[in-house]
Amino acid sequence: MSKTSKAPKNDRQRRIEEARRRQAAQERRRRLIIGGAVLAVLVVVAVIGIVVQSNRSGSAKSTASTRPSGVLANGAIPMGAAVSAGQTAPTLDIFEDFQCPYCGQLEQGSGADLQQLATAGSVQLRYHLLSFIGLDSVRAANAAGCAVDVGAFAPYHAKLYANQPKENTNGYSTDNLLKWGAEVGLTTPAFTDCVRTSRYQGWVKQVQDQSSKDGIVQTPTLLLNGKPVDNAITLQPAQLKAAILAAKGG
Amino acid sequence: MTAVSRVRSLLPAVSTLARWALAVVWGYAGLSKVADPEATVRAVRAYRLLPEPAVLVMGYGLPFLEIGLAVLLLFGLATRVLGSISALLFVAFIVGVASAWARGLAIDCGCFGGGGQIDPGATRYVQEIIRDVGFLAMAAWLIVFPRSRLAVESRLAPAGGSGNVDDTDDGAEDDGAESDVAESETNREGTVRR
Repeated sequence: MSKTSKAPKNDRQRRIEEARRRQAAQERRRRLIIGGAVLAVLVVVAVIGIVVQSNRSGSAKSTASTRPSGVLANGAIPMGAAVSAGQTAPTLDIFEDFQCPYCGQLEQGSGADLQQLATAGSVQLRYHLLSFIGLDSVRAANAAGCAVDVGAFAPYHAKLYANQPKENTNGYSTDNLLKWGAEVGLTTPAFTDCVRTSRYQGWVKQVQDQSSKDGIVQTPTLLLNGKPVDNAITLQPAQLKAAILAAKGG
Repeated sequence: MTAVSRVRSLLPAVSTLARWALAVVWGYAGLSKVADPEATVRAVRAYRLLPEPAVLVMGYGLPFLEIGLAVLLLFGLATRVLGSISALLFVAFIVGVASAWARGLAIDCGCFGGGGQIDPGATRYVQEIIRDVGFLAMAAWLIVFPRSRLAVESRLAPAGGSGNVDDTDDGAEDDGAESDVAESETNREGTVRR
């Protein structure tokens, strides 16, 4: 456009300027149309995506009605002292993923203590089996749910952590999950079938989504009477036990 | 041909590379997220920046938007518009990652699938931000030099097209600034010949 500032010298030049202006206007119009069309396409694509994806996850949620017996409304597996009015035992919410190495450390250090405290009625444990690390986590959580049905969650839970594989190496394969089940006496067709068909997949998803919504951003996370336990204490068995014993029921 | 004009003649080719590279980035980002909407929603939620309804819209819509951007960039339509949208998204991502970092969250950016909470020792905020700044630079390049070779938009001739429309140099948005002199030369000749 550097030339437009100069006054046209003759008719020929004026015609050229005129033609160029027309061309520029056309070009602008064309650009506007393409740009608008591109924007419209992107908006439509995004909206289609939102509809498609929310329908997909909607169908996943409907299967969440199938859940292991006795789990709480939020999907957690309760263990130990029953919670009722006038109950004085504290609650300990445990958010863990079977594949998370620190969860393995927690189980190694405090697993036996926690079971003992729960059996003695000194605490109610609520296991939230998360599955964000990968498919191995999903399979393991599903299998643990299957173990709940036959009252063998605690030994199976300990067994899975004792055999914790490296993350996402297919270590919690269906075959391994069944094998380790058999090692703690889980050989019923009901258990086998439950593991093989991923019966509690919907529940596993629900637990994961719920904890994500509740702002659980790392595992293991412990909530003692609903309050977060300091990370420094979580992996110190003696301190953790002391904290639980010192806590009164909420 | 002066040195400057030789460099200028290379710009459309560089823009084509930037366009395709961004298409690959968006395509990979979108495809790796689209299969698992739940994981994507969790990844978005883990930033703890958006209210829940917005988290769902973002988690469900973003992968499709990314794939849409990839396809349009691949063909080369409204390159400057696409570059601008890309740049806006990259700025938003950088802000998101930086804010997660500043707030002490331990998350994976979820840029290419996955995402959400991770081990505090496994965060890669610096790498994620540097990478996004690189992508932002490519997007910025396309905003400044949108004209590229092998772009569909340069084939979409305006009604009653003129002489230089089929010139591959004639991408969409020559707003004048970059190649005034060369441009007016061609234009004048083209018009005269008619």
